[in-house]
Amino acid sequence: MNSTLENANPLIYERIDRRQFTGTELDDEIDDDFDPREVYDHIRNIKDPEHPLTLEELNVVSESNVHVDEENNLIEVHFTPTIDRCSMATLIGLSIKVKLMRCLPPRFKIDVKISKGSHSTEDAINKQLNDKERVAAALENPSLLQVINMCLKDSI
Amino acid sequence: MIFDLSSTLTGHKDRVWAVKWRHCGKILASCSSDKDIRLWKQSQNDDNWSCDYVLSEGHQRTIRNIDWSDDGNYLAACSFDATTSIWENKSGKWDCSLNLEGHENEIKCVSWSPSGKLLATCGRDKTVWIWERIEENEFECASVITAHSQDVKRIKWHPKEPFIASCSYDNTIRFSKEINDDWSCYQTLDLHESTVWAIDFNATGDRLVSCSDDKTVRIWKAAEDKWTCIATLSGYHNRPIYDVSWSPTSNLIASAAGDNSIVIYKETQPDFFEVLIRKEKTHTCDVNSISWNPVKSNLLASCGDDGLAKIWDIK
Repeated sequence: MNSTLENANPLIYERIDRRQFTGTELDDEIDDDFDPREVYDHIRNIKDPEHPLTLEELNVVSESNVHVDEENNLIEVHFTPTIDRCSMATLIGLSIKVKLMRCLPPRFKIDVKISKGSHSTEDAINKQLNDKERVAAALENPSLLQVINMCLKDSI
Repeated sequence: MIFDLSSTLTGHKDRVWAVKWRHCGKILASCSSDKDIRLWKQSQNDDNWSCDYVLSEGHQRTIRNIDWSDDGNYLAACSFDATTSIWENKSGKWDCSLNLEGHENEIKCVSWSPSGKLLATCGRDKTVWIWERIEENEFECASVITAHSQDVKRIKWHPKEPFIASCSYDNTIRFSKEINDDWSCYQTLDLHESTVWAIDFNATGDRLVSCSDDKTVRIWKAAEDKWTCIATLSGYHNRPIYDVSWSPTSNLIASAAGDNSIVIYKETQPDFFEVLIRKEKTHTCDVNSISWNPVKSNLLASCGDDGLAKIWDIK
């Protein structure tokens, strides 16, 4: 993997500050809604499969590309691969999906898609990420699951 | 119209992928990512449905689908582990009598022909396999149909004629039959705009219903071996539609979707279909499969990602 990096010198973006919790959010007695920032915090520290950098530092994910519809239990995340031919795009999307499936209540429908126009095969990748049966089968593959878990390590 | 919950079946430890009634209408089978098949029966004293039998250790991975033979003595199950198991009822006990291997990877569906002599399987390797029963406990692969260009999601034998319908991630439905000693595709329906998740024939076999990731249900009609779309039912689901079931007794169609809802349609005039009822929140997660009871026309079974199977009373 090291000898032929697809994107050897990616642009590195600044990390956002730690979230400041409000009084009501720290109060376990109060039910507060999920907001995009809370969802974003779950995914911003996922590691890129190629670089020792986070998806936030590579600008693959951003808070403005996270949409939460609490009433209908919908969460939509758009991510932007660093280059438009990135062969890791499906793996990155899968990592985001797995992280959110593990962290959020099961009532949420999680849609992970490539930002419009940012990848040469975005329709094919979106279709694959959206196919729950194929995602379920992929996650039963031990070697793939190991790669995903490596990306998710330390992402909290 | 009444759409009441009659029974909630708990026991599976993971998402439930499929439910299917035995032809007698007295046993419901369900299969799950927990690698078990459960058989549910109504107890004699209190009418409640409960787990009567667990068929386990037949597969290494998710059991994706199941199908009863017409005589009810065999249950076939297919798995992401690339094998199909045949379970046989021997004086009340269920044993795995056979394991069919051949597919490269995940098998998505299995279907018995009405005669019980043929079995079809399909999967992610884009193929449909036709298995022929040579002897009681021996199957041989009679053909591998390679018509689809992607993952084949579902297969269904015609209720009367010796042909098979399959649907796929390639957005098409295809019909295959035996021509000159080999099985091949002779017609393709390509109106759906995304993955076709499921298909079902009506009792006489002159209609087919299909459902898709494009959030529509389509009704197809056969005239002299040619299938045409006579109705597109859209706007009733807002997430992918994972299953459809055409009741052999009441002629009603039910669809189940990723929006947790079930919709029931009726043919109110020839070739004209209307929604009778849309039931929301039937499960707390995606509804993966539904099945009309073949004897008691009011009973509909469903199952979902919430790990539950449910039986509904619809009148």
